[in-house]
Amino acid sequence: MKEYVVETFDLCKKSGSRYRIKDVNLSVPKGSIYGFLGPNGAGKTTTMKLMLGLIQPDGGSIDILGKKMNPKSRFKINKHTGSLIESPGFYGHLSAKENLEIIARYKGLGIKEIKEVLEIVHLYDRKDDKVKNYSLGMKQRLGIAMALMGRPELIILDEPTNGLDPAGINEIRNLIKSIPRIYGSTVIISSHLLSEVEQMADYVGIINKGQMIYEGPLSKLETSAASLEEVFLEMTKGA
Amino acid sequence: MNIIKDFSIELRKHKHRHNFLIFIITILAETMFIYGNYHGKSNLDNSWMLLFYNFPIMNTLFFPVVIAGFASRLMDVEHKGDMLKSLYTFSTPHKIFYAKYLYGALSILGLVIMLCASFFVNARLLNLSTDFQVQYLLIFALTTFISSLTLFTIHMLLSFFFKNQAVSICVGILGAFTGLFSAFLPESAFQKMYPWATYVTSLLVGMDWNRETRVTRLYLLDPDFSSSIFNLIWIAAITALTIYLLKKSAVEDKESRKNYTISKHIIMHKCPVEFLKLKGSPAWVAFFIVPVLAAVIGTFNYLGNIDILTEGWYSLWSQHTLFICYFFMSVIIGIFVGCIWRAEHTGTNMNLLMTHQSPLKIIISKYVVTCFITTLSILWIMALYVISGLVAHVDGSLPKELLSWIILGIIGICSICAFQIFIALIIRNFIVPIIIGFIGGLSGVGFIAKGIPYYSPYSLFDLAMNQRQLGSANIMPFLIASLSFIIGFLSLSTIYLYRSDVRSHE
Repeated sequence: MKEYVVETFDLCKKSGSRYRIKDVNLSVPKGSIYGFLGPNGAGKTTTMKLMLGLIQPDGGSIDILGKKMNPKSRFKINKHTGSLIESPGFYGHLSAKENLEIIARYKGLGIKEIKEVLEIVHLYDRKDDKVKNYSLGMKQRLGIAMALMGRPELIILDEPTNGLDPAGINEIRNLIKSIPRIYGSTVIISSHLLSEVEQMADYVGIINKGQMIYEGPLSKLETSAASLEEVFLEMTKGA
Repeated sequence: MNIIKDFSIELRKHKHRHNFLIFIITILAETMFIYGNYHGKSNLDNSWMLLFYNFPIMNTLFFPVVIAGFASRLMDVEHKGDMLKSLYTFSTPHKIFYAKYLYGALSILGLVIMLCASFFVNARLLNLSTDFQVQYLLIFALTTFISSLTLFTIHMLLSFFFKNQAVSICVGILGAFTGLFSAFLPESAFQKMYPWATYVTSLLVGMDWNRETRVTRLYLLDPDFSSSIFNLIWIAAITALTIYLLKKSAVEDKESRKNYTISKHIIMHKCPVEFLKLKGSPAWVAFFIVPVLAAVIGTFNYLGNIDILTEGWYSLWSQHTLFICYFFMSVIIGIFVGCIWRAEHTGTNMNLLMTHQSPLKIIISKYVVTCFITTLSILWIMALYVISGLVAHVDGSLPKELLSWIILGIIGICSICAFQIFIALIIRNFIVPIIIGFIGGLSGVGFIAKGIPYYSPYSLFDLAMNQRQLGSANIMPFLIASLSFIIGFLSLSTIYLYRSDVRSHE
């Protein structure tokens, strides 16, 4: 029996009377890189926000790191997660170092961890610049650095390569691939780019219009004759 | 017609923005104040004059703030999503400005019409006569419109070029207070040229108050258009300046990359996280500058009226704390709390905060920072009081109750802080909580006047700092009221953070 880090049971979230996601069941195996795929507006971010307890479900439940997610347990659980949801959050009038310091203070970490993540995302030389003067890609790197801080057990990254240059994308890709090995963490990464997920993930979940349409090992998806691109387009078409 | 097209686009942008709601609330607030003051006192001849006397004075206080908020809202739509960048690719800065100006001018016309209409409602409510000549109402409407338009022009300039809404709103609030204050000074040409004072200088009705008989008498004045003429000059000059600046403007980030010295080592700050977030923010400056202004004005006022103010140190205290308590403090707290919440409400910062900190700790840390800085401010007020008393050679010794005023004042102000923390948390808009603080500060006076001071956090502070109002017998209800406000609003805030979905990017 596999050990799951995240499991959701018939998860629903409405906005008004419309379902943003409906009956989502997904399970993320421990130590894996889970690629969460779907076209724009399919409900990826909503699902990830639910996992972190940032929004409350209208139905269903979530088990995360062996605990039930609810407003009470949220803070305890999130001590062991790192996340980058939507675009990175930051205090623009402070430097990158100071922003990371705030996170470090909240998580009870020290200088060592700040230095480590700054070096991982190659921002060490720019650490004293104000973040509002950063380019889009640099802000994204800072967001990733915040998520990696303290080597959390579960890392949730929402479209982490947004705004990065090709070299940056490659770098982050290699970084993400190495996370389970080095940190022993599980990574959930969302994307609408298949080629991206294909190169990193061992598990994939595909969501379209708020409903899961596939979940399983990447290898299984690939065995079918068509290329992954075609499979994906086929699955998300019309549906 | 191009301008009509631009105008209709502008109208669409403000759909669902409820801009008129602010105006309606303002007029309701003014109506309530007048009703509270004059209910059952309509036995004067020509009682309609009451309206023509009181509304302009109310306008002096309320309109500058409301217009500042309104103008900055008009521009905030563009600044928030960095829309100007793309707007400039298919429109010119001038067109955008003209369309917004037209929209604003028409809205202000709407405000003035509503104000005039409210005259009749007020007359009915207060049982006043309405047999005034229509021309008075027209003159009143015209001068009010011109004054308001002048302020709007100033604030459009400010909000077009300053992304930070705080600039516009602070200028508005400062304008309101200085305008009102100038009404107590002898009339001068300078006052007529000062846009924020022109609601008062265009008064159609004067008031006499006889100190011996304690009778107020209202009398008609000749219409004075000189302020309006000055205002028109202001409008022309400021519009010209704006147009000139627009010509030079281009969308670019003013703060280009500075050369920071790159430090070799990473050194952690020692201060609490909340203070770190405030680094470089000027939000706290007002806490220390405004008391100095109040102290200077208060001391001069004391020295100028030394024949009436015969109670030495006690009189000096009342002169020092009058403006601070009634007007400034709640606004300053409103701005400060607005700034600390705005840092979190921007972008996706709320995601960041809520995944790293428990709701209770978030609220408590924000509250502690606010209380800390306001406490320092109160101590600063006390220090200024002692210093100016010594400089002015006030007779006698320091009041022995001084320490208790200060301690109770700090407790009272902590309940205002709790209220503002709650309001600024649930209302994500920057301006509205500040306006609520502003109106709240004024309403505190009303609550005391009506004999129900324990029902509003704002009046608690006024009570504590005012020497005569809080006898020792009333300390228990005072403490109970303060504590219940503090605990109540802090728990409401925590529950709100606990329960509600985290929203970002709005």
